Amino acid sequence: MNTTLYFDEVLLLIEALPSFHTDELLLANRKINLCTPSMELRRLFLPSLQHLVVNKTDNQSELTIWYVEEKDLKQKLKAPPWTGFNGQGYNASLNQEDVQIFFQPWQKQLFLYSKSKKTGIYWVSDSHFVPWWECTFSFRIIFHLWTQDLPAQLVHSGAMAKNGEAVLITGKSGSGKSTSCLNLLRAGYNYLGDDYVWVELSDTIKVYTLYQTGKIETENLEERFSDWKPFIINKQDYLHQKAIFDIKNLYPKSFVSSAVLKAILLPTVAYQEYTSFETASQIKALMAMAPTTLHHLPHNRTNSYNKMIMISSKLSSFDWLLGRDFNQFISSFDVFISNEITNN
Amino acid sequence: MKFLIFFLVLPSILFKHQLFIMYYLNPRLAAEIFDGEYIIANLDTGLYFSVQGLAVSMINFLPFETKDQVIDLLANTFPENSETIQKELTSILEELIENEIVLKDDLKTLVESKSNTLPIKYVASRFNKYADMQDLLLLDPIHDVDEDGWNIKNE
Repeated sequence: MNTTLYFDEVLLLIEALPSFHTDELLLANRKINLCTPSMELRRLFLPSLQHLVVNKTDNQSELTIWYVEEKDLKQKLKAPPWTGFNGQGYNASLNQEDVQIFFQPWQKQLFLYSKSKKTGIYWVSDSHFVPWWECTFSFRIIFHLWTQDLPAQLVHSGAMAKNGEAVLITGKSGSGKSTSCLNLLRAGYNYLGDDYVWVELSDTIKVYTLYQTGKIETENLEERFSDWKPFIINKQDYLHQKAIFDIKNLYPKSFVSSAVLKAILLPTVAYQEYTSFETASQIKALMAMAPTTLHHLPHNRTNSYNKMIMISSKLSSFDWLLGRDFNQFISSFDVFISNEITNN
Repeated sequence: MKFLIFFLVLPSILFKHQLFIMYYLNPRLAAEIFDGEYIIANLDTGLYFSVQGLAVSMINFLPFETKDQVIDLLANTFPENSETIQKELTSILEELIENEIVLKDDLKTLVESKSNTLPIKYVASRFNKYADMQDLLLLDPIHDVDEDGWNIKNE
């Protein structure tokens, strides 16, 4: 059994579906079809992508994603018959030239993508087994596999904008990335994402909103965002997950779909009163964005790494030393945007 | 006859060994220079390294066959810092070898070392290792599977 045969067998089961629902999305000017027979999976996966949904057109889609539960299919699906998948869902011993597989063996879910068919498949044994976090970045791995042949890259990063110009806010978990984005959102800046964004590489580097869901740790929620509590989506579960918010509903006027990227900010909680900015090296920017992104997205690493080298080498980078004074945090950001972004 | 082969072959192996120890950059790694600093990524293991200062010039000389020759050349370029340079370049080369960034091979055909311009200013060398992601990469939980091959712990 090779990966192509395995993919074709799964696709055959899916193509035999008597009926299914299609949602059309537009992401970075490319049409995507999301197809599922499961209204429960649609309820779980669509909200984070809801802002990308468009009216149905006759245009050819550039990517089709099928997402199904076992009960939807006529036949049980066998687990990928290969050993060697690591904790990241990657199997280095498999030939994945056309069909690529993301499979974490302790989960009963599976992601497949065929480059030649431009088709992604998500299968889960039962909707109850969908990990909660998976729905906050729906089909992330499939989008990533799709970008291999596109001038685009998913980056583990937030992005905030003003007047169509954006900064990428990147760093590993706990660096203050999401909190900074959400604080800026509250202060009136435009939101493009606080966890994963789509970066389009052309003469000008643009950032597109990929997901409209924000996530906040419980402790952080109590400390800084307690007024958002009425808007928590996962009210039953947020204490043992993270509090999830629909940012587009929460701040509809601040929500934008794209902006031109002008700089990279590398936040660090600095245990000082006032926030400050310092020029950072390109390597530091690359090291803030690449290891964490490539850890989440283990396929096509060289290709992605080269794209992130391009991003970090084309943009100015700054260490963003986060202070305690909230008002000064905002005012210093205003000054930074005015001096380094708008006037440059 | 056996003795004859031994005496003919052994010296030639030793002779070859002495001549052909080659230090070279691991071709499986992605190595790029930004602003005079090397960033070297092992995308298979999730380990990233950066090299700054005069050690960048040492890497630029790769492949080379005699490490002392290259280190001496760089140390003698800045006589006032010669001793420090000897120590730091020897130590960084050891780190590079230990982390399989630089490989040693005594079977390779001799390749001519690259000629490189020497730096005009001495900048102290630094070697950094970014291993934040590696612990997570090694995660590979043991699991039992059902008849269809799926993990049964979730049930």
